[in-house]
Amino acid sequence: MSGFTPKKLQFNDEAREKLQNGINKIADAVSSTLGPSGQTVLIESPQHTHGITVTKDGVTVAKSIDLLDPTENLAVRIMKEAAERTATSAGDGTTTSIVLARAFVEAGFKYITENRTDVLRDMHEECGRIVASLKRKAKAVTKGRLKDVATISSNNDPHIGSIIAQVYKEVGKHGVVTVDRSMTSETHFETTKGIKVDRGYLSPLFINDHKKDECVFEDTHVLVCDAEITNILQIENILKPIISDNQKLLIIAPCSPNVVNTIAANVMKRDMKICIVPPPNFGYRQHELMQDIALSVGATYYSEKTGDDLSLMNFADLGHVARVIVGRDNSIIIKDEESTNDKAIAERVKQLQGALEITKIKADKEFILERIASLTGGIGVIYAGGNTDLEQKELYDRIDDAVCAVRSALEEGILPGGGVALWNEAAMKYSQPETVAEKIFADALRAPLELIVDNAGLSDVDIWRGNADESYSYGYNVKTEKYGDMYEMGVIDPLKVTRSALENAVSVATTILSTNAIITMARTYEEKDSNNAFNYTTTLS
Amino acid sequence: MKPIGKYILIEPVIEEVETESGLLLTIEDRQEFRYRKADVVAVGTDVATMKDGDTIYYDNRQGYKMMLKNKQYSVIRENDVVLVE
Repeated sequence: MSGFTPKKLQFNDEAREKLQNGINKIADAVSSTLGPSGQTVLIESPQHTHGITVTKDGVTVAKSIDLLDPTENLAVRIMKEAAERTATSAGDGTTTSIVLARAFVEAGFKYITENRTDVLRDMHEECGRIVASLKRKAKAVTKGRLKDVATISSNNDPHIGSIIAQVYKEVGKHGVVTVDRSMTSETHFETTKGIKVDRGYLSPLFINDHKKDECVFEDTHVLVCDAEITNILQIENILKPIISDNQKLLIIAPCSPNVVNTIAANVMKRDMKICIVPPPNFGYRQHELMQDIALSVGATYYSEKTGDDLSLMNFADLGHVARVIVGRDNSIIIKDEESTNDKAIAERVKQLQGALEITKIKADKEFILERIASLTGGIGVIYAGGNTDLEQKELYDRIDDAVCAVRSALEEGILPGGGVALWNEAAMKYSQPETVAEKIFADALRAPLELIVDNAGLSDVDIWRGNADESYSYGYNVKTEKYGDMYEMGVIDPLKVTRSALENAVSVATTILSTNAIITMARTYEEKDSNNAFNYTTTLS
Repeated sequence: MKPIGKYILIEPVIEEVETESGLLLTIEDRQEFRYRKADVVAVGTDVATMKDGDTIYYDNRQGYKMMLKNKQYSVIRENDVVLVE
């Protein structure tokens, strides 16, 4: 049967119903986590050490879902992709985008009777209008609001919220904030002035802090080079003063295995203080990042591309930093207190800002922003603590989410949270919906708020009555059970999150609503024994 | 037993090599050097430039290893030797 794969075909309503089933399943699982009264979800997962994950994070729940029915699973896969897109661009809003997508699909089935393609096109236009309207209403994040944004994104944990706000206050708007696991049960943070390199040590033999599995040097020289060091004698010139004065050296360069071995052997046998880290990223980005690193540590960047010869390098070409912490996957370089090249760095930041305005590609923009951030800002690390592995993982996910949300909020501003922004959009724009697309939007945009209220065990009516006042940010705080201004009550969402959730949801919904035929691989499922174990076979080949 | 003609029996010297900076080189690094140090155990009947017990540097890529009285030696030719100490 080689070259022949039997397929199963489904059409029209039968096909769409199956897709809707799949969407409902994933939405049911994910939607219970939405809002301040969101519930946790238990997942059996092969990746986790204990085989169990406890989470309130929509992405984790969504990612873990695969359905047996191939058609339903197609819908799940489309949803997962959309949710992940929202999560990667905005760092949050996975649940919202899934809930919205389901609402759009449901409303679509309800209202679309004819002219399917026209309606779908209208939906895209409508989506653009809503996004524009949201953008107009968004407020920039002030220092005071930062804490509220952080708190709401960490599922209303004021302690985490204040930690994140403090970190951002210290590292600045462009600073890098990362999350790590704490060695103790305490959740705390550290901030530093420096740069982060997304690469760790080349050999575990460089570790000198065995408790944390890190290589830590104070008062260190830095060699920055992008040409591969294939022979240890190439850098003999540099090593001479380092070794004779028992100094420390961080090498950021690609090294052949024998060079790594030689250095490692010397670190072990002769107690030399040397560590090697490969250059971050690839291609032209590597080149640019290395230039940035060299600039901020005050080193001369030796590059293959400019025809530099490593053996001509001398001691003066090395940079100097106060401290380096080299981990398994990333390194943090903390600059000297009085760095001599602040002027050059300011100049480079200016150039990058110019480049940022010219470039149109999103990925390039992000890359430039990252570079500006690493040149100007500091680094903050939040350590998530927990008494058990499970608790720590849950907290880690939540802090990670919240940090992303805060980053998004700083970028595009904030809106009233808890689904109120979308609900009010629906209430104001579509009080008398005319076209089919408007009807769909009028229904779907209310879904997140209704779900949050539902999760809190309240009935919708309570909220609707409270919203008689036409103020845009007026709403009901599910947590404190009070009506009022959402901004004042600290119930807020980043615009970027709401926007990406909406855009991705509309994109999924229109894909599903426009589907007319589904082709899947034909499969047979045989029931085995009485304990319901499935024997799963595809009829491939 | 005595080597004949231009053959020389040598015993490679195994030593730790250090660079000027004090960096210890691994065996791997040392093998990258073409000429290696050895002690002459016995010279062949036609060899006049060195005598038994001399320390020489020879071409690492020439010669073969052999076992003699449970000990490992190398056999090279006279023209594989570049330096005599």
